[in-house]
Amino acid sequence: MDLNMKVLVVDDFATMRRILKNVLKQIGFTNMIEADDGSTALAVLKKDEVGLIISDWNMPKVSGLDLLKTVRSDESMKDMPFLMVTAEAQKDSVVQAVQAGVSNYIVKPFTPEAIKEKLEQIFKK
Amino acid sequence: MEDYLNTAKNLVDKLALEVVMLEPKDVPGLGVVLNRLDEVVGVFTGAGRETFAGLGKAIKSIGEKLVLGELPAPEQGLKQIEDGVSLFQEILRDADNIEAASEKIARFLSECGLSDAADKLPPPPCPPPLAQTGFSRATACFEEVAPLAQTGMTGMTHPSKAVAPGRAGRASRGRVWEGGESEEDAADKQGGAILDIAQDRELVENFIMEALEHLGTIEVNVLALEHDPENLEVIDAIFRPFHTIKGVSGFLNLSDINRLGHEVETLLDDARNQKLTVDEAITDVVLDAVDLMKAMINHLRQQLETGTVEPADFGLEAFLDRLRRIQVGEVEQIQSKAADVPEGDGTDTGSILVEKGIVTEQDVARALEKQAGPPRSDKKIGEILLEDKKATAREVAGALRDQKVLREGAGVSERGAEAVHFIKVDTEKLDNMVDMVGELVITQAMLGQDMTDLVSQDKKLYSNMGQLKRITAEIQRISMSMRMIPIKQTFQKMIRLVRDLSRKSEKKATLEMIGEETEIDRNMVDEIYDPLVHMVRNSVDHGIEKPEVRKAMGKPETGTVTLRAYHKGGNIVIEISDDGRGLDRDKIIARAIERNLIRSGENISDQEIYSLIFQPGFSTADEVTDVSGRGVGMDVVKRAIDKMRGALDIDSAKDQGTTVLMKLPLTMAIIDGITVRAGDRDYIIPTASVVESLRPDRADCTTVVDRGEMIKVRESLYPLVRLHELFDFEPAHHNPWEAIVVVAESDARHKCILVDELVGKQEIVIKSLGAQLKGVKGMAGGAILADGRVGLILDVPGLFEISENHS
Repeated sequence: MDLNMKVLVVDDFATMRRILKNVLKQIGFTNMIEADDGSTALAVLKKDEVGLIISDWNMPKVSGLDLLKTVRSDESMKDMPFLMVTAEAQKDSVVQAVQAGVSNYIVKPFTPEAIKEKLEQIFKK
Repeated sequence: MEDYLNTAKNLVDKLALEVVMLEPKDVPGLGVVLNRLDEVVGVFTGAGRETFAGLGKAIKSIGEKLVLGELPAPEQGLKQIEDGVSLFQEILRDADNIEAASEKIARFLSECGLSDAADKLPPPPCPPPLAQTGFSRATACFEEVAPLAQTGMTGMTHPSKAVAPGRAGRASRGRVWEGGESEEDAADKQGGAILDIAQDRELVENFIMEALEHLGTIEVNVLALEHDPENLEVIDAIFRPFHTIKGVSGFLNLSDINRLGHEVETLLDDARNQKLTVDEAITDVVLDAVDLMKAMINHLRQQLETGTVEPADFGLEAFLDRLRRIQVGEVEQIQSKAADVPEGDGTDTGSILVEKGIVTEQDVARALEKQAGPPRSDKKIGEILLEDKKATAREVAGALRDQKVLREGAGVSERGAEAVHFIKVDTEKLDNMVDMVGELVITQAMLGQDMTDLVSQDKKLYSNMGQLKRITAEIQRISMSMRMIPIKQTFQKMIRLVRDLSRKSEKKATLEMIGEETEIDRNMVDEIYDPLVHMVRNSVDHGIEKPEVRKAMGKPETGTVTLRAYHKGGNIVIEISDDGRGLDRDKIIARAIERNLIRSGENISDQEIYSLIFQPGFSTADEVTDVSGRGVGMDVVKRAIDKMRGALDIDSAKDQGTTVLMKLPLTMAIIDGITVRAGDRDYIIPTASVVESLRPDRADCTTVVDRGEMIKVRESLYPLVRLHELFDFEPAHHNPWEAIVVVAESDARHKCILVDELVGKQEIVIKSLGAQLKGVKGMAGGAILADGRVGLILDVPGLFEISENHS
């Protein structure tokens, strides 16, 4: 796992983005950018070279699932590591995300260790 | 026939390859397998081979459980998938022997603790659209399968046993899996802090700010939902922020907020999945939840600010109880509510229903007959149609909603969830910047003046100076606009106010907003809030009559309070009008004479009479009824507006309503002023207060007994205010006919201010006078003028006041 890679954190709630960034910092990541919605995330993806997307599911305009589908349908990003953050209330729809090709998912609230474990799983291959 | 078998064989072969590579935690791999299984199931379903499709679904359900981490032993699950796929390959080799295949499939299912019931139950085991409260739902599904599964099965794990270790497994794996609403999980959640709050105070502060903001939008959306209860987008726009607040509060270990968020979310989720019809009880409880959550968050803020940790009782348990009761609420209530929605004039419910093809014209005619009586019925057309079983409650409710849309234009749904992107900047920083830009503008002006001679000789310098001037002007414009925000948010808060007030006072009132996109200085938003609340409250409490009264007068039962904002000549104007009973002119006069505010027989305009209600004397409780209820604390409004250098205007017509006009400067940082010189001093009079300026004829200057020096301006006599007497300096001219008088207005009263000369008109950045001089009457602040001199800004209402005390 390359800790210098650019991580795109997508969540409409600024506090949540902050929490995620803190957790990522604790893990050792140094390079993080934010987007507050799937649509802004796509704009970032067009511009920046991103190594990992961590996205919330529930967002106003373009949801995490839609973002995932768009990313996967793009030839240049179809293998991009994508970690979906969901709340426990959506556990069953996790299957949808998995079928849409999510790299892994994590349920809120999570510990830094848990997210680290998920990321290691993603980058193991 | 052969075709589908070949396709299936191909697919299953691919599947087998994919499964061999699979590891229990390989999420993307599982995704590929699940997709492949969908294809397989599709092929068999298409060919009518339900038994085979059932096997596919069963394997998929194991895969899903693996994904969700619901299997106590993932390796075993993987093995089952492998076995299932092998079985597929096996039976496909001998696809015609259906009996043998069925038997093998049944055996496989029973070995896996599934049954052939999976085939009969709607696939997948937990249909995603309904699925929400994760764990409990999953359990429920399992139990549904159980009784069927037990018949004639051997060696299967009892479902309830299968679940228990699953839960234990999850708990031991750390906090990744926080389950639904079960007690154990909740206790687990409180077990340890996920993030240390003490380490990131800023995070909590952020949360407080953001959560409050979100609650604000929830409020607006709930009100939109009231008008359009089936709009899923609006429900979603309410659901989402609750969900997010819940999620983040979980991280911050704010368990009470988390629980409240969770319960509301559950309720809204039912509404979202159309298991619950949104009615008044639901919007009420959601609004109450917003209030409760606000209270809890404010309490948290207090704790953070003061460092105390005193617990507060918000009655959360009782509230959660109420929430849960509503969630399982009866359907009956909803039906009666639907027909209860008030019906207005214009596009009537009947014709909408006819147009939709739900009822016939005859049905409506019959219902109308019934309504007309005898006996005359108070029932709405919708209700009667409902009784006659011509239409369902849902259809009537739908028609009523269409009616609303028809009448209002399609405004409601748009209010749902529009997001503009903002960055947050500390207002103090912004203020500093605006201040500095003000200085920049002044420096540029001074520089321009100093270099006038040089500039005229040097063409290059001339163009550069011109450029500098343009740029500074642009910077000033931009920096001012950065503090401007739409008045919408402030207006929207009034929707709730009108709703609550009218409900409390048993009146019907709606709020209309016009021009809510009008922008206003951020610093003024807080200032206008209280006066606005006051006036809206007055309009509903005392302006709008009870429905019976209104009906008797031939007015629509529902009163309207209108908020309107617009720009007019460098000012922002906010109008608050109602169609209520209006002010009682005679009573105000009587009251004013009684209180010595005016003399009887004095000739004063209606405007001036109505303005009297802004006098402090009109604000005690027993006058509420005397003056048609107006004047309750209106002096408070007046003072607040004065503080903003604004003006109030009031107009009213008996039985037709009252309109209050708030005229405010666009910003509090800059005023448009007229610079005047008196003696060796420069003063600035806010242009908004200036009516005209003139040099009076000698004959127009008179002295009236008891009222002092007066100047006759056309047909009116205005008192003269001598600045040099008030501020003690030597003027160039003592006689008004040699000097100039500026006619200034405040409170619909006019006075003439004596000055030596008019210097010019300019935009002035207001500088505060500092703490020592803050209370000085008649002065609003200081300013640096274009020539670098310091001028004092006159506060006209204050000046009038001291001139009256002086003489």
